Amino acid sequence: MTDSAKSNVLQNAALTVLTSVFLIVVGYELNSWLSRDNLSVDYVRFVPQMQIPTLSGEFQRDSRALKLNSRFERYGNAVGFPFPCTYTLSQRSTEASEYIGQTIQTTKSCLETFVDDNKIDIEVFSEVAAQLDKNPTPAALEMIIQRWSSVFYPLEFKRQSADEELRAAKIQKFKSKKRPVMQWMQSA
Amino acid sequence: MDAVRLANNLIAYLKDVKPVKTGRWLVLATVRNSGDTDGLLMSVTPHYLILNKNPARLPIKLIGPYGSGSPWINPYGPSARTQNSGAVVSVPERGATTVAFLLDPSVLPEPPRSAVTVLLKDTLPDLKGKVILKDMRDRDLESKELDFPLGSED
Repeated sequence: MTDSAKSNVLQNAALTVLTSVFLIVVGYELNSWLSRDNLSVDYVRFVPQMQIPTLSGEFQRDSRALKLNSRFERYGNAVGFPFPCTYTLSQRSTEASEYIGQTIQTTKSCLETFVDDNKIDIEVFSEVAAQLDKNPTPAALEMIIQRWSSVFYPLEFKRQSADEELRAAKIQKFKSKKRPVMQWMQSA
Repeated sequence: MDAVRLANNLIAYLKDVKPVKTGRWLVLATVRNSGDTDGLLMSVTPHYLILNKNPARLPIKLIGPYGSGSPWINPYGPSARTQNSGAVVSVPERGATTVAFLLDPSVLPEPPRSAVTVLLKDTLPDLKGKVILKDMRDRDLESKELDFPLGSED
């Protein structure tokens, strides 16, 4: 191979290497440019932060006392003093105003429901106590207990009634079926 | 009955409870990403708010994404404290995210602390603000000038 031929081969090789490197760099840059994030701020809202002023010691004591009143939770219609009624207020959190307004409203309605339910409970208790004071007959006592159960244990009462109805239906179905043995017994 | 009396006391007390302004502001910026890769906003890079009534660049603190399941953010809650030490908010490719920042005039140097405190307390009818956020490449993302809500609307 002559010198010029060797030089040509070397030149071609160098050109190929340079072209490859150039293409790799261009490809890399193009890829980076095409697959980059492009952030922009569309809209901004400014919201003043609000907070509930420090709650009085009396409020905190009363809410704690109400929360611990398990007697009503167990026996009454009232579901006690639910979690959302105490949580946010006792945290004295700083939130957006609409959230705080909503929390106060929820708390008020929780308390009002609690009061109403307890009033109903007290009425029923008083009525039952008055009936028991009159020394009721066993039949009347049974009715009182039935009424008590339906008011204070509505779910259990319904379930029990449903079980009894189902049992009665099954017996009825059994009796109504015409079986050969039964027919034979009836004919005999 | 004692429980009823307690509940009635609480109802009466709640009638008088009114939320009060803290002086801090949440800045909720909706950031759009029209690129092909997720974008990032980080708390280590500075973000600013500029009021039309005060030329100072007021630093705002990145809290985190806003509105993911809850309608509010408590900037002093445990999660916010953790996020402040290195919060990163990802804006998905071809998507948008609302990001919450906190402006607390009480931590600003003097000036402009007093001037800004007064401006934000009174919230004048023509008070406007624009934010300048920094993306992960330290590029400025500037918003339009937008109105502050009036004091009576709070």
